[in-house]
Amino acid sequence: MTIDIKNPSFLLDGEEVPFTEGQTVMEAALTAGSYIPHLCFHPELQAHGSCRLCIVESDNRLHASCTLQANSRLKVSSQTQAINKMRKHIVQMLFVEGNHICPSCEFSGNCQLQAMAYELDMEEGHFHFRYPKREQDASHNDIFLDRDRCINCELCVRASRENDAKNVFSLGGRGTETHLCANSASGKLGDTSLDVSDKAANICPVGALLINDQSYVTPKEDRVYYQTSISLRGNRRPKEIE
Amino acid sequence: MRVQRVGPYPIAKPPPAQRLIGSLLANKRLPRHALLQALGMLQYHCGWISPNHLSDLSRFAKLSIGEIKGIIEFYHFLSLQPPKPYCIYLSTNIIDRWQRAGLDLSLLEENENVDVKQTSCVGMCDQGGSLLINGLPLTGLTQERIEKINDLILRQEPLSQWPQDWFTVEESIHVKGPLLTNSIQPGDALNKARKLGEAGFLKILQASNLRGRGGAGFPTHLKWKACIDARGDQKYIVCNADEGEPGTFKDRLLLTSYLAKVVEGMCIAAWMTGASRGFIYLRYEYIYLLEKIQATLSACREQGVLDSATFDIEVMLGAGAYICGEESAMLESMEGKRGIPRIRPPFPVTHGLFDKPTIVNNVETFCNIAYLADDGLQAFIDNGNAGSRGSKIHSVAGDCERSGIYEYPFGSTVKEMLHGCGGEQAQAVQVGGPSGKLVLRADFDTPVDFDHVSSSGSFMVFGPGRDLKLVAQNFLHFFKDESCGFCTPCRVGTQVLAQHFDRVCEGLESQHEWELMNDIASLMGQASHCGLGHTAANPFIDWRDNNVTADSLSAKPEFIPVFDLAKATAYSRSLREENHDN
Repeated sequence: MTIDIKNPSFLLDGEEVPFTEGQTVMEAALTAGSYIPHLCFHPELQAHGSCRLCIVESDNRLHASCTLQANSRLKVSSQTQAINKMRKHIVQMLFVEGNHICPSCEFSGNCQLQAMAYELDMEEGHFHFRYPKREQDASHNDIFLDRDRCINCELCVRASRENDAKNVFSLGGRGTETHLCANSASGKLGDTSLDVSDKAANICPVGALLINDQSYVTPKEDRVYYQTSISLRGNRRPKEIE
Repeated sequence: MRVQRVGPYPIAKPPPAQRLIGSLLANKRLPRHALLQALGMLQYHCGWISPNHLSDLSRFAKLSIGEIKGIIEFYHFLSLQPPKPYCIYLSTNIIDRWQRAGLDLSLLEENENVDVKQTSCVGMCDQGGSLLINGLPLTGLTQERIEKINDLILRQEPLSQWPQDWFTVEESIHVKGPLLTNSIQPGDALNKARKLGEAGFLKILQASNLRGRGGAGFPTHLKWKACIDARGDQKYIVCNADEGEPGTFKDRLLLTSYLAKVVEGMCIAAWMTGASRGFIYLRYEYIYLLEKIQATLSACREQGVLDSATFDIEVMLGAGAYICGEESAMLESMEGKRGIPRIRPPFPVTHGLFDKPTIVNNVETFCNIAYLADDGLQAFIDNGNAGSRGSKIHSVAGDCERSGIYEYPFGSTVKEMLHGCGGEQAQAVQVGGPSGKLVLRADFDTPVDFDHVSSSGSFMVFGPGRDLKLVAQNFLHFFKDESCGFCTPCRVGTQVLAQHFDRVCEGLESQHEWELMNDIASLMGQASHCGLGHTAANPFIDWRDNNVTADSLSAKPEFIPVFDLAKATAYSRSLREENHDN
């Protein structure tokens, strides 16, 4: 492969992916239409690198592709059996860590975690379920916070700070006790300035932040991932459906 | 900050926040980076962060209470619960557990005036049975002393009236090498380095092949060169004194008795990079050293080694989080945030504290810098071997006759070190703490250096009677407690791995269980965000590699369900039996 300085590219699973200066492997891949599994990445927000689903291999090491700067010397592998097995274990870890109630969840079919489980052929939890006790928060008129389903991706935290200029959310606790906090004196969502139209209220990849009165309005066959896999459809929220 | 003994905690009448943290306020505003410092002071003096103090802080720092709570919850020693008059922390490290083995602590546990809590290693593995009481270490525990402590707590005797000698942490140095022998006249090392010029000293640094002593072993000259080259109007020098690797206490000695050398090393870094401010990030467990450290810094100012115009050093306190020993997590913590490791690159040398170029080195590394400048290259490289120049200070503890501090040239073997401490009988040694390596008796000829078994300074000796399975279990639980929770593989992996290994210890493991643990270990080792996650499965891997063979594995049952039907239905069955009885 020769290096074209004007139109640089790197190799992703043997295919050339063009990139512009400053892009990460994830950004360049998504722009080029190559899907790398992810949950905590969002193109409009600062990369986070916490879910680790977007791990790719380069130089015999794994990197989070959302924080790996693209360069023309890179040869990156993403869709290998070994990496997808690890990704499946990561998704299984997220499932056993929280309390995920797919069959009755309002977000079923729209949920990116659930879609990722199908994408990676997850058939069971694999690890011991932890059944944590987590606090629910129904104090907000329009938005319900169900921490049972939260995966600590901090998309809402970042969206509120970077997009809404509000800083409504933060994380508290440590280790497996890590949990989403509402930044109000009472700690209740209803006492924050979160508005139903905020990006932060409409970015959750799972059913942890639910907009009231919108549950079950969409028949299941019309939900985002009912007919199309997440690798083809991308990480999308229901209202972004064409 | 004066470190007076506080206790019983002033629960009924806590002092106003302003009085306790006044020195941190500027025009009634608390700068963001001072938040953790303020929390640490309130915790130390009051035993908790009360709702009143919380709302004061919220006002001073212009942060919401919710956000401050999120920070408090991250750090082990900060509490939102009303305290009892006294609070005791017991270290969970296996060595400390063994040291307390013959002691009956139930008296204290049942005493209503004291909370008895657990924490990771407090850096006192050479002090006999020990505990922290209201933040301060109390060493050399005996049953008699525990009873006396219990009486004093019952009577709510002020901690300041308790016998002084209970609080003594005696440093025992058994083998001194060049680093602990060399004595520097104040300012000498810096002057000698200056004579060589910046480029000259950097060359010496390179030729010395000095590598970081905190565990990772990164070549110091590369780190410094990168920071010297980095653009920035302000640069910082940070000394990592968050000695958290279980079994380590060598920085405790250096901070107690060799701090002037550390300061001199930091001064050389400041002169080379043009930094005008330095910080020592001190773990909360060593708060008892704070006053002494500040006195030494004052002495350095009087001697002209430090001065506010060119370079000065201040101390920042941690608040209980092993992860803050990771340099980028430490920088976050110093900025008053949760100690989550940053995405790297960029590295601290270009984007460090407050996003400015920053050198972060371990306490012992700075000591080595001063020694190298003072005694010169030849003296330095006379010790150690090609890959690992110089000497290493080890904290030796466990089943040996003389626990304490030992300085050996790099490349000394485990056997030599065991001979030195009277631990020849050992069946195994954990070198470098839980994240390091278990060395079995058959491998005692292994040299301790960067190319063989690397060490951050922890050397835990396990005698013939010890069950190494329980050691591995202890270490896995340590990582479970100390994972920061940022990335999925480490946050969940450490939990699940510890849980599965508990079953191994109960004799309930199956082939399936081993397959799961192998999957987790390999995932954590490769896919985690930082070094903690990468090494957190090491105790499992060592145990597996030393004990499990294909044959021993195939002899185990394929699957043992986690769900225990008899246990789960015990209650309903007991009701049925009651009915029958009636």
